Amino acid sequence: MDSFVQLLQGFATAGTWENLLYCTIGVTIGMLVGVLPGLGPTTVTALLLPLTFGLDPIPAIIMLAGIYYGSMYGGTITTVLINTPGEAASVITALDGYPMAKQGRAGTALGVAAIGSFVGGTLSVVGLAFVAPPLARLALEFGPAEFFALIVLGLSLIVGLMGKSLIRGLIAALFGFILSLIGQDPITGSLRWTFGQPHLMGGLDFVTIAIGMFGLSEILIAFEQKTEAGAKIAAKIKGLLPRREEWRPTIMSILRGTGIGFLIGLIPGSNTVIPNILSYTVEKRLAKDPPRFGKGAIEGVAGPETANNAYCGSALIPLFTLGIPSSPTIAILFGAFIMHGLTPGPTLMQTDADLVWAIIASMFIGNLILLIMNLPLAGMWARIALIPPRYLYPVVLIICIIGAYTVSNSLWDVGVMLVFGIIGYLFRKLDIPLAPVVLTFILGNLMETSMMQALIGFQGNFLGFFQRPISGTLLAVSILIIALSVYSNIRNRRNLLGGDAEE
Amino acid sequence: MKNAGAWMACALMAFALVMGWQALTLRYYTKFGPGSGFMPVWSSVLLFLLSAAYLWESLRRDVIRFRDILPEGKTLWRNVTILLAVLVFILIVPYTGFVAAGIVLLLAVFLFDFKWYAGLALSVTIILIFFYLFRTLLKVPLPVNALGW
Repeated sequence: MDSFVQLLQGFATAGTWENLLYCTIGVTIGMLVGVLPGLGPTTVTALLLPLTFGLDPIPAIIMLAGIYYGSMYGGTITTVLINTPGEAASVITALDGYPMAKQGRAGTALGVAAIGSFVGGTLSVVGLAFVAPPLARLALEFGPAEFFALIVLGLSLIVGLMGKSLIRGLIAALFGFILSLIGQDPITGSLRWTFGQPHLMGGLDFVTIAIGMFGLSEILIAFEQKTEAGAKIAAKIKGLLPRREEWRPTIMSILRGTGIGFLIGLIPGSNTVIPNILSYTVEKRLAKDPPRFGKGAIEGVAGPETANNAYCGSALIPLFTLGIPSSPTIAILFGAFIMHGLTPGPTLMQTDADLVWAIIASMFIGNLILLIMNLPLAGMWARIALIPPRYLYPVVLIICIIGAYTVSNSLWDVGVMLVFGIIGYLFRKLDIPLAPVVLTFILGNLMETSMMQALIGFQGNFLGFFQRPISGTLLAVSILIIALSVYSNIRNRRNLLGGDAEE
Repeated sequence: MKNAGAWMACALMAFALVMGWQALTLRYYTKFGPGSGFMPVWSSVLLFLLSAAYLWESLRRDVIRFRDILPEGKTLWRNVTILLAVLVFILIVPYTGFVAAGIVLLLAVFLFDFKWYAGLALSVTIILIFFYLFRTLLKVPLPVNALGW
């Protein structure tokens, strides 16, 4: 009941003209990001984060969150209409969405995707509203040892799931972790790895690294890829609803997609591609005639599209309740919280409840705005995807520079962005995943601080972590996951889920 | 010499060595438990070992050559130009201000696809729009010259 009352208060806050405006701006940018191939939500959230310095925390985070879940809608349109997934989460939709468009059913594919996205997004926000408070209360009981173990678990999942090579995944994670240690030691205050450079005393800034690794490297890679000259919109959009006999399987796919997306979102280290693939696989397995899949099966669009939007809502639960970002985009939202003087974690729901509930309420509103923007304007959004990179990416380059400069009004940050742009470019070329770099960078300090605090309590005894039930169990699970990853790597069976998805 | 993965592995090993060497100057252990050098030492050692494993993987199992991953011709030059243009921007912006340095930066990129006058017109238009949008409307601080632009 408490949650319901607080949610209503959240609606009152999110419903002010200012917050509605920023929510609309956020979801519109999110749609653009989803529509434009190459530009991912992580890149754009990182680029726009410094530009929210002047805003209050509530509109700033409402806008950035809007970019995150809005991008899931946009990608579908270009996938269905021009067979060009705007972001990784839409790749699976192309399998059946584009064939549907070629059969003259683009409207139905987009309609089902939009309805599924709305249902999945909304139900997962309902779940977020009711699961997050009790989980946060439970997390308040956690001590440094439990937090350390939880972070280790999150990181082991990230490394286990991302990248084609476990060695390269681990290198990426360690690289990010080492970068996070630069600057002042949080416990003793002594300086580490500053090389006499005053700019490094406060450590490297997350936003600068993210802009370089995701933004600048994206520009370099985008210019290498040939634009699809002559890409055409597959069909006119008419008849947004499924046929009468398709309603039942569509609704069932949407409900299953919601469940799959919601559950996967709770796992730190997952990404939007995983619920999509799982949902598609489940739909194909449950279908009476699986050969239809790949040729325009409506369940192949409804399930995955619902799953990735349901994932977005529940992926915020580990952030709000445990202070652990589950994906790179959420890590940037984590950075936004820090930048605005807020600490994500179990105390956030108590100290800044109005903010959390306003964000949750804004997601309901944002999903509704997206539904309205999606259906009648799908053709317009698809045309935006045809903007040639030669116009688009120079503009993104200037935004990268402004974004990096704004971090501390210093050209030092632009230089750091340039260096990490080159590193990000080379990493991507060599299949070294970027997601573990940013996630360990943002969690590194928290992990070290909680480990040190716990060890002081254990008088330096490392076995102390295993003598507490929760931390011991979490660490054992982490060890198991890493062992399984090593085993699968040795057997060379790292599968489809092993791709580095930006989200 | 042409194996990009091996070069990256060597660069990471060198990075781990430098960081590890520096970490040895920090206090490894105190009477309360691990000191400020504890994590830096272990993370550097682990990175070195993993980089060595990556070197082995690059040489034996997963050979990625420079020619497989790097662009050629105009595309390569465009990418080099973008990086150099950002570097030039950093060097000249304290003297010229955002508008002039930004135009130079964009012009360098646009010249690959447009005639010089079209590139210049695009650069000037985009920079002026951005200057107005960020500095005037959004009040975002930009690096400017003595004249305020």
